[in-house]
Amino acid sequence: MKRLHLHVVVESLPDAIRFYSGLLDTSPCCGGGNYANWRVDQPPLNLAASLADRPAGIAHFGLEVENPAELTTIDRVLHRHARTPGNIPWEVSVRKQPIREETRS
Amino acid sequence: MKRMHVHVAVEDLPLSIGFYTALFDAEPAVVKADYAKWMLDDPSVNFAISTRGREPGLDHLGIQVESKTELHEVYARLRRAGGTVVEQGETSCCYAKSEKSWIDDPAGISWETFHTTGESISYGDGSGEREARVADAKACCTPQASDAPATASSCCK
Repeated sequence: MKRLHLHVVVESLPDAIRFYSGLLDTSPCCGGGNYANWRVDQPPLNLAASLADRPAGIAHFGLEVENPAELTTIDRVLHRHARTPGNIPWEVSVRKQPIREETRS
Repeated sequence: MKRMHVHVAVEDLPLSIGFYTALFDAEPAVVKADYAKWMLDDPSVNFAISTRGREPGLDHLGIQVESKTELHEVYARLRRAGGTVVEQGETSCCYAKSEKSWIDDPAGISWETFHTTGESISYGDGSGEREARVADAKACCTPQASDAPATASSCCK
């Protein structure tokens, strides 16, 4: 099962944890001092919120796959495009292990 | 079953359709002159793009449900999440008839929770949507793209 991945930058992590835990009806699975992560099956979502030295908003989208073989096709697509639509970077990763991040804009 | 929903404002619809068709390995379920939508099963996502945004970028996120029962369950989540929930009710937007509510998240991103009941032959005026999303003056049917820059963050999982 693939999950959509969203990484958002927020100004207050406690506010973000309260909001997204309510919205997704679950607590973060993991996190740290400036980061929290929710993994949800219904809908399939890997949501990350972090503090960062940049304005709040979407940082990137991603697809989280279970099988490394699935990366090949997606990677090929991302490599072919010099620019992602909407100027939002896409990341592809195998579950729990980031592979690389697209930073095109 | 709940689906994630993403709506991205793009400049070049054909180019964007090509990109997402390849990325998702699936053809769009809906293609209009100003809009396209993929209804993916793996991951379960309703991914929409349109040229109606003022600038490219994320317009809004959402959770789509399949029944009124689920909708009310998600509405209860919104109340637990905090913030201002605006129940828009029944509306026609993005070539679909839906019942929906809106809330802004701590990143300033609008989330809609909605139950689609049918198709619409027009993009729709999103009656009430402008008011529903007044917090940041976005509107689905005249979307204003997120002002978030497209820089990547450090990785994190």
